[in-house]
Amino acid sequence: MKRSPTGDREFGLLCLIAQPEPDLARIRERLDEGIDAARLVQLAELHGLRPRLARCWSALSWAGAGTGERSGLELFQRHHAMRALAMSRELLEVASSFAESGIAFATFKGPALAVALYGDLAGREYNDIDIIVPQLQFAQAEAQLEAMGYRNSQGSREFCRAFLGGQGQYAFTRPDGTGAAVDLHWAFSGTHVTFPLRPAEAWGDGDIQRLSIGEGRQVPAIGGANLALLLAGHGTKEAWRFLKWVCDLGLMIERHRELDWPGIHRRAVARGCGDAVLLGCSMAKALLELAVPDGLAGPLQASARVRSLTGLLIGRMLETPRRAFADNFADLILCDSRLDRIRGAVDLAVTPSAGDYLAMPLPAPLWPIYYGTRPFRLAAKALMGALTRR
Amino acid sequence: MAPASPSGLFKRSARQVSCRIDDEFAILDLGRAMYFGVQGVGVQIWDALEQPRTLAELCALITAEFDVSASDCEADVVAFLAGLQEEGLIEVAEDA
Repeated sequence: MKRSPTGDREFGLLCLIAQPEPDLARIRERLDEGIDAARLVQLAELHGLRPRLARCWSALSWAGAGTGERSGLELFQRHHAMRALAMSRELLEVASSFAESGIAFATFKGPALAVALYGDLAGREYNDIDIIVPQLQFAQAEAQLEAMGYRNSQGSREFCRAFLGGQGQYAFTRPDGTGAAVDLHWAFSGTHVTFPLRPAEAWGDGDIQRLSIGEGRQVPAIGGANLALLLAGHGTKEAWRFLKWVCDLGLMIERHRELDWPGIHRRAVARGCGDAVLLGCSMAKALLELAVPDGLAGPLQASARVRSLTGLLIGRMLETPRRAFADNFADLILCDSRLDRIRGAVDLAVTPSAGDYLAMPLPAPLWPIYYGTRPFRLAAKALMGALTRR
Repeated sequence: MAPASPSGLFKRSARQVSCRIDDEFAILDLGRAMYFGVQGVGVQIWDALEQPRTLAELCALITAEFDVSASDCEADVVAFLAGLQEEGLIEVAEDA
């Protein structure tokens, strides 16, 4: 995989911008040294950090920015603001509808995280609303979204149950062109891997914030230690591909050092994914120069796996293009133990997915055939991938 | 519409959500799905309205920040608040 040499300089600047309290003097120094402004904007778009880049660059009077970069970011900010407000409106409507129907729920990421960590609905980039409900109420929540005009964008209920049931979430969109999208979860990860946060903790015995979205309107959102676990778990599940997830966790660490971080780590260890917390802290330290939370420096230093993964994942951030096939199994790094990772891989290898249907569409009564064809399809895909990389 | 009372308490209404875009605010009327933009001195006023404020408090904030006479400031702030109130973006609570 080719690593862009100029991308490192711009990527380094982006890391400064992603710090919880960006040092404008340092950023200005880097800008004055000369950067590829178009490349910086491109990286910010890839890593979901355009709001932060725009804010920092504006505070520095757009030093080093070409007319195109400045106008492009300013236009993005307007569109992003309007979209963020529109999604917030959707969130309030869905929350109201669920509350009236007696559906337990909590929101996370999206507008909730923007308000909780960035202090502004447009403080971070997001494209949808994430809501988790108890699995027993999922069908009721699904029906409520459909009554509001949402449709499952991934297929019929039968299709989703057959091919997506192990993912823990379905995606719903409005077909009215508004772009409104809700990811409705009953779990935080697929069934083949563990996750630092149990679904029941989202609204039961954990930290629920009543988050203000607008004036006098509050929605239940995951907060406190649960939010730290969620951010570490989500980032690790996604192999920390994008800097914005490191930025999210970095803000959580910096704004909430009073949390019992060793206790957070212990909770994740009990779930078989303690390394996810250490890895998130390690990524934030390496990329954002953030001090590791008290009590975690020792466990982090002691984990060769975490230190090795940090280097590997940062290297992959700079790769172009990304390795698609490896990404399919990326979430296995959530598992601390090799045995759990092997079990997860086997589970993935034998459980039919939407990809099997797309490769060879069959009528529903014949779907069990995919249990037999899937291992061969994946093996062929792996072989093609290996040959392509040569 | 009643003129702004010196002792009235102005606050953002529950009918809107807003966010900051650099030196502007974008506001969305939740009921009508209409967007509004606030610029210039209006940004200071809208920002201050994150907490309920009296007219006097708002004028004090503006005159501390800008070189403007108290009478001109009050007239401009009253007009701005009237516009926000007309669109349902702010409410006037009981007298402070």
